[in-house]
Amino acid sequence: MKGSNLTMPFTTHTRKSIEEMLTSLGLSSIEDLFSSIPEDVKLNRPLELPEGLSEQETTQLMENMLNSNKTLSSYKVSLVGAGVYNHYIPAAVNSIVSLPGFVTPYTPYQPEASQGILTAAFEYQTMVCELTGMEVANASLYDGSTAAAEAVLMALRVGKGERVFLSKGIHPYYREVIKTYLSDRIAVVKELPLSSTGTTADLRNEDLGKGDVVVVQSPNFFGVIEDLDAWAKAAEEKGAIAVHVFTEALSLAVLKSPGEAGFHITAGEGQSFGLPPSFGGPLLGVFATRMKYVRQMPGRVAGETRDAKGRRGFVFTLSTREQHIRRARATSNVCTNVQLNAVAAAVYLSLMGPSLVDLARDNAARAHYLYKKVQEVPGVKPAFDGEFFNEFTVCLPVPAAKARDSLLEMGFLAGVPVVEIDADADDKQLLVAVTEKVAPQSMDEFVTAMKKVCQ
Amino acid sequence: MKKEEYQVVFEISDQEQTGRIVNSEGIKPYFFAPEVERKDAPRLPRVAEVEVTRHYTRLAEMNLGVDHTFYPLGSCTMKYNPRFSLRLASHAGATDIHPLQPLDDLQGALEVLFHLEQMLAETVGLHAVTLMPAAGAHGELTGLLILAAYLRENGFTKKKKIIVPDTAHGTNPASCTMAGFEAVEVKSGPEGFVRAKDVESMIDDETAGIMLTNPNTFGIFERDFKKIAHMVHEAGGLVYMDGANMNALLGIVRPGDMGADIVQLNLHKTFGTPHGGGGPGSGPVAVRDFLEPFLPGERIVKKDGKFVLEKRAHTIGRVRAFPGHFAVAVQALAYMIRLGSDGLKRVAEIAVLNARYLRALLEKHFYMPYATETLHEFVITDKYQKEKKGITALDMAKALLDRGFHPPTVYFPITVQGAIMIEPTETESKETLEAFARALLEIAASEPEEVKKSPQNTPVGRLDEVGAARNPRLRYTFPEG
Repeated sequence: MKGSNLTMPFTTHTRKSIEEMLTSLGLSSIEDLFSSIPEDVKLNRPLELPEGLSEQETTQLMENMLNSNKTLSSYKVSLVGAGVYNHYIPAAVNSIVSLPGFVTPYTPYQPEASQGILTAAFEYQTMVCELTGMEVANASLYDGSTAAAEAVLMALRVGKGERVFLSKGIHPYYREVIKTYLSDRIAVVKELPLSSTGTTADLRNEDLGKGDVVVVQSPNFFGVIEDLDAWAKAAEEKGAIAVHVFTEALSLAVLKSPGEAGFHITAGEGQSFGLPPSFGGPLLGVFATRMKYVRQMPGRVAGETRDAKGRRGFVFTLSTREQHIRRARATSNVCTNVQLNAVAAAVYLSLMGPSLVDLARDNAARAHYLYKKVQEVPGVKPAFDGEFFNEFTVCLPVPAAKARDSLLEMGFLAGVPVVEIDADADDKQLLVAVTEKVAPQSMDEFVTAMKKVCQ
Repeated sequence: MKKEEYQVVFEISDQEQTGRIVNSEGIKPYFFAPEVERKDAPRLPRVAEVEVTRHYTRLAEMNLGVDHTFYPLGSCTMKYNPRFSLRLASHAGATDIHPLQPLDDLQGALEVLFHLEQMLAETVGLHAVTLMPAAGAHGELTGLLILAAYLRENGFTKKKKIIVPDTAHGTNPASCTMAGFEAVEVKSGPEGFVRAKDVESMIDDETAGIMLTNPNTFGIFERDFKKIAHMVHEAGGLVYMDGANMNALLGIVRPGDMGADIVQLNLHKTFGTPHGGGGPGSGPVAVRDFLEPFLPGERIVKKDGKFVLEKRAHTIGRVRAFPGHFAVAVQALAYMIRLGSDGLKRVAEIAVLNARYLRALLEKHFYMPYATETLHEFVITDKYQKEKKGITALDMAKALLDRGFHPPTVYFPITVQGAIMIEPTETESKETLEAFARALLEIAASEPEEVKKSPQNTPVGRLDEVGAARNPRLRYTFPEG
């Protein structure tokens, strides 16, 4: 037993029990356990990693690193959004999703011992259907961007098409992920430009055909609400498959839903429902579609059924779509998703209930207040004049990154310079998100600071 | 309406949700133009906080987790999740930070990722790591897209086939398809591992690479790995190793040293982060030096004492909008720091010791498809029990639930009939292993009528899965009116 540290944490064995176990196996040393491995591939030296530490030392070391991050709550105001939003999280969400019964199981392969996860997944799917106006939702995908990419792949399967039209109002990172997923297999990807209102150019002018895939984000990356009816109608007329993408799930509470408008698939980010920003992960990929396409849907889906005694229960179902059954011909390779975050969203939405609509109106009200107020700053103009939800883009008289840095010195986190996400963008554009965490008074202070910076 | 055993949240009667959750005082609600607004409000439950808490606490109690019991789910590495790392993941410096803050304000986050990348790279013996992939399958896709980009860059346009063993996880062939490859199956040899000569006969101009899980899903070490890697390299292809079973090899074997060019790891398996009932996990990808320029997203580099981000020339592009599952990375780094070099090796040693000990307790009583030596997991089957008494793997799994254990993985690998795949992990005691073996042997010796009644001690009995698929009810239906 040379070389190894017998006091390694998280095992229960004593030196004695290890010896007993080895003896019963007819082995004389731990090394004998690995005799099936050819000698010429063995490492035969310790990994060049530091020696282990105590729990307290490790915690201190980790906290030192984490403490050197500046948290969002430490700024006088934080207006950063662009796909991850700084919402208030009710305390009960964290206490519930910390319960061992939610944290420590694996994917529910044994439904009888996983009814809690499966029931919560069923509830979550129902809430997603209600919010999106769709007929069926899956139990989650990784995040909004991967959900959007999966939506495009599914739309190509459904329509048997080969062409994808992406609005330039889609978050640049989402567009990038979609293109990564398409790799070089789908040749034609046309990007549709924005008009002066900030909405995507009229789809009716495009040479659209049957089975083509059209993708629009609303509210879009710049915050502007797109005309979903027009998109769905244009797609319908040409036989195209319409995909809706969103990054701010809270907007679904008040804005026309993709289901109402007639979209075929919707996919987006659910982080606003009870999940912290966490440096962008883990988040929550929301995915919903029409029942007639359910067999092309990626990811797990919980369904209701009964046991022999007639008791209601839930199982993951329609699994012949999935990789563990269909292997190379599965609708997706996804296995582990973000189930715990879907539970968090279900808990959050249960706690908020119908007041989610009020929260959405609150966010919109604050954002519209700042939108108006910030125009008091000489030289600051809205980048677009279209209607928005809780995020908007302004044009500054100075480069946005420079203004952001100056405001940072005064303690304000001003938003995201668009050029930092999209290199082709105007470097004076600043993307600003306003949630219930931004107090009206701090917005006034922010605008006062802006006046100094934009001189 | 029929009263159900337990409710879904929508069935909890309408309650007053008193008390505001957020500060909306003095904010005049904003109303959009009618054509912009939705027609009907979403029907969300109207339940008071106390009942929400009780409802979900009840649900949590209906799940079995590692905290409750032994969870020997093969190939899933269900080890104990240390609490100190869970606590670190909820530190404000981990949760209350935004990926688009200025980098000066995020140095700690970049440091965490940078260190974890380096430690994982040393652990697998490769040059560079990306933490962007969100789960194991996402890592597979990322690795294969890197492979595809490399082949494209080098003009190997004919190379479209990836050799995948018949024992691979379903995600492997599915990832091949998603990345634009064709998965071609190689059969395992008579001893339960892939033989070099079988791979040799499959290699041709179209071979893009091979995807091997090592140890494989039988827990058997792929002892021809190095030879196979050499052959694939000679043919101009690359070697992908699925690191789902890396728990067996920590500090013992490094995939890079035996010829793997691309490896994905599952932080939620090997590095102690919880699985959350199906994620979030994390599936970092490690690559050899010449593949580093293809890595997704931006690379974290240290320049003049500061961490900055750099985009690589041939990047495949982002596979996810933001850098990765940071909260999971925090836990994995804490786990690696706590264990250190010796501790990580000890993980593999005890994981293998436990698996071998449990195998020895069971192998006389169950059919084993291969007599070959195994590492961190092993596969037995229901052959004897089925032939003699009609007791199947599923029956035994359900009966284990009644005895308070989570069952092993059943009916996988698919190459063996009635497979029962057992992975105990290093965190289990000798007594637990013995108790589990006793329970399984007791079940195998029971009367079939009794076993087939299982499970009886669970909130519901065996559920009608066929009915669920035939008549899909995938959302709650609100009562009329």
